[in-house]
Amino acid sequence: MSIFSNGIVLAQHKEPAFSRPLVCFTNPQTETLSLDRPPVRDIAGLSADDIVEIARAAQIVDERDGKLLHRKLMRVKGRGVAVVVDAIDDEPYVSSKINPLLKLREETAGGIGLCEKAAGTDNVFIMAYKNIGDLETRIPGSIEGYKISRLRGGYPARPQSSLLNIGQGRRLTVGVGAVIHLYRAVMQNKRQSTVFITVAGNCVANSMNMEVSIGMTIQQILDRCGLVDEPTRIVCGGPMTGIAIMDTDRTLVTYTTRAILVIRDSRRESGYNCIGCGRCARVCPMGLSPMYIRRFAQTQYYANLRRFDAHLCVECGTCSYICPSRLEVSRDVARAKAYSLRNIVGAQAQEVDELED
Amino acid sequence: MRIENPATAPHIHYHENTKVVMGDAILPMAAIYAMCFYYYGPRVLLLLVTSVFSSVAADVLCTLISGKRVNARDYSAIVTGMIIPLMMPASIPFHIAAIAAVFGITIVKHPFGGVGNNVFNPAAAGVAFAIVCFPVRMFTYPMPLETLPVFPDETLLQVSSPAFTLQLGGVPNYDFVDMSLGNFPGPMGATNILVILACLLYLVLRGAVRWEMPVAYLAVFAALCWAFPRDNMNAAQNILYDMMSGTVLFGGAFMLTDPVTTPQRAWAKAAYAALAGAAVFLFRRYSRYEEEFVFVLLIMNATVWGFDMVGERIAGIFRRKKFETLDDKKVQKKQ
Repeated sequence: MSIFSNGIVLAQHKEPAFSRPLVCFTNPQTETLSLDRPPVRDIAGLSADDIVEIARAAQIVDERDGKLLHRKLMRVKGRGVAVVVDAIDDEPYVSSKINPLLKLREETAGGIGLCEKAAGTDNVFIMAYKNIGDLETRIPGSIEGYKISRLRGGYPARPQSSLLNIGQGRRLTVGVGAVIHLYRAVMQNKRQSTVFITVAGNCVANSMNMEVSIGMTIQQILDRCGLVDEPTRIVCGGPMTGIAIMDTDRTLVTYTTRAILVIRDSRRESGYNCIGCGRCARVCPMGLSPMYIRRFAQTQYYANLRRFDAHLCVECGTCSYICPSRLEVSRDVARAKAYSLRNIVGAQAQEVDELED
Repeated sequence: MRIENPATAPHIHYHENTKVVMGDAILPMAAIYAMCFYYYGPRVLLLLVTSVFSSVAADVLCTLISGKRVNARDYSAIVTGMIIPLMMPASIPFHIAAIAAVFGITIVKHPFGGVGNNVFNPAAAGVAFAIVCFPVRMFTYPMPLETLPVFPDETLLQVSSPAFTLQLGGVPNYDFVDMSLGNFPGPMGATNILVILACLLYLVLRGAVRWEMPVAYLAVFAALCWAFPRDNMNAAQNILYDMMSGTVLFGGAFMLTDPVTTPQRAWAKAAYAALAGAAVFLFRRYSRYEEEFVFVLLIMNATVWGFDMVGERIAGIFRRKKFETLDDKKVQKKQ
């Protein structure tokens, strides 16, 4: 009997944004941003160092984790580690990685080639999510000669993918957006000035995937897509982990914005107590017991947080999703995790975080 | 555009809420009440109303006294109020059912912090209180298939249950078909064996009850009955009589599996249920009361914390093992 849950199955709701074409909606001033170097004519003549240097000059940020791409490339440069291209959109509504992968195939494939070259390997995995039932278009088996591996299991897919046995030890994990921007920087001499996002939700008139300029306000994007209803909740990021925002005029698109969800839902049910049903412990992908961690955090019994491994929480939100009492378990466990890390691991936390890549 | 009071992630939720979880207990018990109505007439519905009303009234009152907001969607007091009459004879005076419900809510549930925080099962505590205070009323049962008057007087035929016969060392003279249909004197809900089994199946299929619990509980109980049969009957008879008489099955389906007073993890639940099965066996064989389940449950409820702590310790070993091996691989690679 394993204590690690295989994740939960979520209704994906990726259509209609998934099958619609990628829309470009950029600020004209940013289109002229270019690097102070001539565009590369001959990819074969580039060395790994050149690629890292271009990534540094283009200021490409990996949208997966908000880290600079050239640092990630530098760390694995020429070591022959596997390259994992992350097109796993395991959260419902979000398809902002898999959609550019399918719509901009040449650019993605070219970017993957550059990553391969920088890492000194030909071992590439493109990861896409398996449990998407409601798609109108099929995800192909391969694009431009690169095979797409389908990741099984429920949400969250990420801890499972990081434990997959893709070569031992280090690997380079990059998002599709960073790969495309790397290709553009090399071939078209462009700085990264855009990100790929999904706009979806039951208040959006035209759900779609867009390429938008960094620094646009959320309001500009909502005006472009149109609203059909008065929303009660606007979320930057996926529905499981995203942040609800208060003011659309003062919230900007950043490097790590993956989606904008505009939702109208009924009032949040509240006033229930925990009934101890144990569902949170059953679904936790890290095998934790969110109920007890939450209780210890509330009663300030901090010594037990270490014993219950609160620091292993991946903040996937599964416990809050499943909770029949609609408690904010995930938020409380995340706080307990922060407390636990601050007090026990201290400054090493950052180091551990970097080791995981 | 401004949105006030943005909520924290996640922004979608599973469709089942506490109301559904409690409804999963209420619906099967309604089926059992239908059987009771068939066997004993409309008096059981009055008992139901009395018990549920006192339990809900006590719950609301205690919530107000403790300064919390009353939640109209919290059905836990209704579940408590529905369980209590089912553990009693159909001829029980109304005030005893009401006293049991009020005792369970005010003494056992709310001093610990209300719903979700109670250490002991309030329904079990209420019934145990009634057994201790009114043993004669609790252990004399009317015959089924006779419509009861609303206020039974001294002339009503009242008999003892097969559990009492077993305890005295005799063999009950009811055949197994009658017993499985519920046509024998006993606690009014606990005698409908087939209906209870169907309810248990419903609860397991709905996911309200983990299958490990009833399986471990009944398996241990049956195994002990088989290994140590009573003197005057064979093993198969002993298993059937001991399971069907008394509240062994009813308690195992509805009270042992109460989510608030059970451990969290599946294997902790199974170990807890197995120990409860063994304890019920011992109490049936050696205790002085013929209805022992509620006392076993109250004792077992006190051990839930220990089961949870040991369960978490085991889970912690699994977690550490998994991540240690990964770290070891990383270190090897570096070297």
